[in-house]
Amino acid sequence: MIIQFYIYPLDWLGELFNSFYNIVLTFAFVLGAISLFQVHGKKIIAQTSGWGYNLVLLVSLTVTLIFGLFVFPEKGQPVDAGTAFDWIFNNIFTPLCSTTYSLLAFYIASASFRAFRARSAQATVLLVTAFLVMLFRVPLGEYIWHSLPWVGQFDITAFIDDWIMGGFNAAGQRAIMLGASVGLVSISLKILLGIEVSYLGGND
Amino acid sequence: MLQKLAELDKRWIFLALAVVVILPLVFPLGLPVEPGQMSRKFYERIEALPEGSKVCMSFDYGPGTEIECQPMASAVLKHLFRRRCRVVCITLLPDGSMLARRTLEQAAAECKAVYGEDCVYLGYKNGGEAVLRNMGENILNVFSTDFYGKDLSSMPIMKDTVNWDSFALVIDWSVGRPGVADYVRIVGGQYHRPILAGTTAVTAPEAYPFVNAGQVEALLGGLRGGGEYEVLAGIKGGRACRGLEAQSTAHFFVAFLIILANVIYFADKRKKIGRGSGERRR
Amino acid sequence: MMSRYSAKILLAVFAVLMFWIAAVSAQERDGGLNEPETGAARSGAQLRPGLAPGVSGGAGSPVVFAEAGESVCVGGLYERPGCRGYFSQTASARQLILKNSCLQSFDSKENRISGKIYIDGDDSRVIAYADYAVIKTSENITVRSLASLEKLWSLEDKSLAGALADPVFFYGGRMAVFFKGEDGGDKKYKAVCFKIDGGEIVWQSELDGEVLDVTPAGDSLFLTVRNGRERLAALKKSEAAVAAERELINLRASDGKILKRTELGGNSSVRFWDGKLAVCQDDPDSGDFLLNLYDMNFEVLYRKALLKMPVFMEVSPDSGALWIGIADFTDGKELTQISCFPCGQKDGFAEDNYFAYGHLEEAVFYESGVWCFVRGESKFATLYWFNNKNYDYLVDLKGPLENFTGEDFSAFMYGDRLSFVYRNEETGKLELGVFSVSTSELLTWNDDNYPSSRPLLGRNAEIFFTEKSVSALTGKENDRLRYLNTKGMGTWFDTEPLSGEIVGVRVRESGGPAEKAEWYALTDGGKIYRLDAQNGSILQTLQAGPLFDRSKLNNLLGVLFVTGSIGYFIWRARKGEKLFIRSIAGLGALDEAVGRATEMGRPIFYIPGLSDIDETQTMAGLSILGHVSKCTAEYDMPIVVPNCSSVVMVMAQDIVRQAYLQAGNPDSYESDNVCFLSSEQFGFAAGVCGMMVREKPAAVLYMGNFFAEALMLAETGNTAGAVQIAGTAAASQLPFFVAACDYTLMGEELYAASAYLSGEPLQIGSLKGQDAVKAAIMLLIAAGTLLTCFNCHWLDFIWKI
Repeated sequence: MIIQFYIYPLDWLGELFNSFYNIVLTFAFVLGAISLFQVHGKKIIAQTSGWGYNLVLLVSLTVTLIFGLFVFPEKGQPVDAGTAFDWIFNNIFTPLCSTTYSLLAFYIASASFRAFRARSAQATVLLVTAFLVMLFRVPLGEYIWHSLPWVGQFDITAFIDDWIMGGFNAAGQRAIMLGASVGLVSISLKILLGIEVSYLGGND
Repeated sequence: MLQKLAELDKRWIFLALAVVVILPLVFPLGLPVEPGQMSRKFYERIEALPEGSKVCMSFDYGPGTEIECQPMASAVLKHLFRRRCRVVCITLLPDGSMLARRTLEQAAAECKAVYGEDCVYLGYKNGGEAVLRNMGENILNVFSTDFYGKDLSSMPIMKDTVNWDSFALVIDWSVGRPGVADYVRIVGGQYHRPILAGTTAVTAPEAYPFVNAGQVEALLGGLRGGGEYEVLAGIKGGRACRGLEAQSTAHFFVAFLIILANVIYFADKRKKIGRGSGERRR
Repeated sequence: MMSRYSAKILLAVFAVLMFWIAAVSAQERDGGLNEPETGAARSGAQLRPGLAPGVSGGAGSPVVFAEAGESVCVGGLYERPGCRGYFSQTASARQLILKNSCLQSFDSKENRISGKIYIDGDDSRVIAYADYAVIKTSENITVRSLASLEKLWSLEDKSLAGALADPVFFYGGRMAVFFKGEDGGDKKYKAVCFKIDGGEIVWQSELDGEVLDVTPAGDSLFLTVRNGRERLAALKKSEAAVAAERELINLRASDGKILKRTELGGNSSVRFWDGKLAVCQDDPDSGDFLLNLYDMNFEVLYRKALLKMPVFMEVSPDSGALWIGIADFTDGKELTQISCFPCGQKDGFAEDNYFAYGHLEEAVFYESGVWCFVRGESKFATLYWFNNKNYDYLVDLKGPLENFTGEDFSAFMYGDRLSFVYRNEETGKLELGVFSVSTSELLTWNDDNYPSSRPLLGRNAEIFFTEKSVSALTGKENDRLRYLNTKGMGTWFDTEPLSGEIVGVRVRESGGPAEKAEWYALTDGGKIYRLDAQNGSILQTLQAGPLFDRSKLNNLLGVLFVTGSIGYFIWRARKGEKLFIRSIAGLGALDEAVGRATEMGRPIFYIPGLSDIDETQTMAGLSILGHVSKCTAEYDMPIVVPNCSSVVMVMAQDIVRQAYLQAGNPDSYESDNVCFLSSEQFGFAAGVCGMMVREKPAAVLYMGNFFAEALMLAETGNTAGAVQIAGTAAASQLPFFVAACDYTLMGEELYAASAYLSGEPLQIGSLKGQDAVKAAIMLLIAAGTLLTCFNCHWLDFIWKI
């Protein structure tokens, strides 16, 4: 795969191996489904506490699978607009995902209340920066800032965009990116050369 | 009082936040949204496209991040249709396939764009980076039919659409992987196509280095980016603008919580009030 | 697994191979290339003039102006959309081929690549002229020998600074180039003429605007220049309400002196015909479309109002007549008017006008006339032959051209045959027709054996097509070259499938029938095939493209540098040298976390991230899982590993099972603890949160790639009262982990964790190697920043690799 990246006539090798990977991945989905049925099925049979939720999971999985694979509308595919699968996706799955994602806002509020203390100089700098970005990158903050006498003339949004986001933040992101990339090359090399084998669960 | 606040149950905070978010949605504040430099750059880049240009748009977000990415995607799509550009849509995330279809259908219906002539949705393909590389050779090798199963060779928009060189611009809406980094590496690095990107607010900082390096020409970040673009594109009552008001009040509330937490902390430090949650080593 | 020696050997072989490839492919570099065009761009004319036999229907060959007695050749590059391989047509035996920015000269007499250079950049063009290859970017021009691609000269004169604009015009061993630049805010335009062989400047001339077109005429070059003095054209008939004004400049070719100017309207087309200048233009004053015939001093000899702006205006290469085609409507029907001005008229300018109802699809010049395909309303198309002797409604092809559509229509002349292809609207199939002028015979093919591609090349009685076949091994589509001998009424002749899509075919002339000839086919797979015309077998295969992807050289050097550094420190570690690495707090706390869990009697949760096994962070996470599960196995503690990917689940099960086996507690391993929850991000997060709330783990470890659910998981873990250690290289989630977790491994610390925990010299050595690379990068950044502050560009060469 490395050689085909650099040598033109061998680029078909990369395509071939990618196809192999996709085929293996597809079979792995089956394994995952089997694991789900095993784990949750055992809990349903043993009627452990909360087994109702396990039943809901398995029923949802099965129903969605059936609608997505086997229930064809008059014309088209099971995943087309107006099908039962589409209804499930739009009215159950999407709202559930959006709701779960929106929980983050609440977690951020509680995490902020718990964790953002000016314990040290660095923490204070972090706090001040967080205030600036949080308050003055939203319309309400901009409106309030521009209403202030004198200081309101200063374009705080541009300052935040250019200096904080484009300057300090970008520098930090680049540093982490560089370090992580070098680390990635290193661990990839170790895996390829067989130096790193602990992910296989053995010492040989 | 301070001690009670320090031991405040999280659920009170959650409730207060919920009220603070819901109120502006029910009683809009009518706050102005001033487009920033980056949004303007994005807008002007699309304005500079000649009529009839072909643009590739990739919807790489899922239902959870739809609220941030969909408004900007919809606004940009409508802008492109108004500029009479032709849009070829793909997605590299399985979750994104239905969302992309819905966004495209809504925007096309509103702008009276004809499917197959002004736009086409090729669907989802597994493989991430490999898909992008194969599309550089020949798109038809990757997508032989569109999302609805129709043959692509019969569509006027796919005539002379061979590979990445056929597109004047590539736009990626992403939340991680596959995402901006993959497009920069393959589409920008190997095929030298200009790239515009839109991300969630959380992943926008990761994309800034690419913007600074010129690998991504412009970036829309989060709900704010979507709101600014709606203003630029003249879209009234867009989801992003409405959401920004709720976001504003939520931010102020969180800032208030942080100030309160620090007041408690410093008071605690002075008065040495024990707190129930305890300190962990950082 | 691999022994240490085989690993060393493999590394050495790999490094040597890469160095060799890099050295072999290190070539002199030039300009850049994107979308090459032929020599001088033409404006106005939509349809092609007739083409020489044996020449494919490409993007239109330019006619190169030549002084009497000068030998020139028609140069140009043949191109297909989306392809990166090109053939050029040159009169010599040499062809220029371009593949992935490697320009090569192929000698078809000796069947070998005779020269090779690398070109990069997006704004370059390659033009073949005589024995020269001219490579033009927006800023520079380089002239090379066509045979060896050796550099002959390049533009050095800084006083000519400014963007090089199109067109580049060749004549009589000279090259006229046009510059546009800025001087104190004002735009400046210049025409400069170079001698093609030495680069000596023959003349320079200041212009008022951007050159749009060059028309050679006698000893002058007539330049159509946009001078930017906008005028509002009359709205009466003009198709352009506002037109940036143009002017026509008579520039003497020998010394660049501007002799005369005249104004042109917004749309204009200029041709040199019969010693005169024929100009079609919008008249800005009247708004009419005009045909003006000027003499060389711009005195109007003849003027005629036209119905509309012509679809084409061309001079017939054989008869020299001026042909003008106009599309108009009358009585609600589309009307095509063809006007012909014959040469050599002494008194006045009489024209012959021909009319046909319908839409003019194509005009192909042949000898003294022009073939016109006119598509009528009734889905029939008619083929007309107009010559300037008499109007000759030669062939009414109503029958074969039934259900005619303009889609995929093309026609070209070769020998005495007119070949045309169109798509049948009813069947959707392509139909081919060949009309022989000498025998007035029309041959058509529309059976199922007809390949669904357009003809590539026509020669004598043969036409070449391509046909796709799919490789069983890779599924990739390859082309076969098929040849139709029209004399034999449809005999097909297959070749073996060639690698990739055929982008060009040339026939090596043998002076006889095609059976004695050899064919050359260039594919986008980067190969040139020499084929035997007897049986289509492959006689020779040449690699036309470069072996090594030159654009990835910097990538390769970077990989070699990192690999070399890591390899060096691994070697030092192997020698027994003690290498110091700093302590990482998060990793030191791992044992603490396991101990805490043992005391409290609660499980440990280990989450290896949300990505699949192709993500290196997941691999790193699984490596750490190996160590952690060993600890938990020794303490006989349960470890719960919920997974987002089934492949990762399988590997995690194996790792944990092995750990318990090795610790001697195989019965303590519960396979249900290492489970797959959901591949959906928030489904997985909800599942894990639920598990944490129910089972209240004592410690939670997050090691891998995380997305938006990171904070959700960390907060829930915090609520459950667990010690939390996180490690991820996802920079966007690090702030959340830092805020919510007790310890955080940032970025590369995750990758270093496995080495740190194992303590093996090889692993520690790799860590040191990483650090050395980082130190080098930091030095480079610091040096580059400092040098840039002082405007020093010593390190700029690094960015150009």
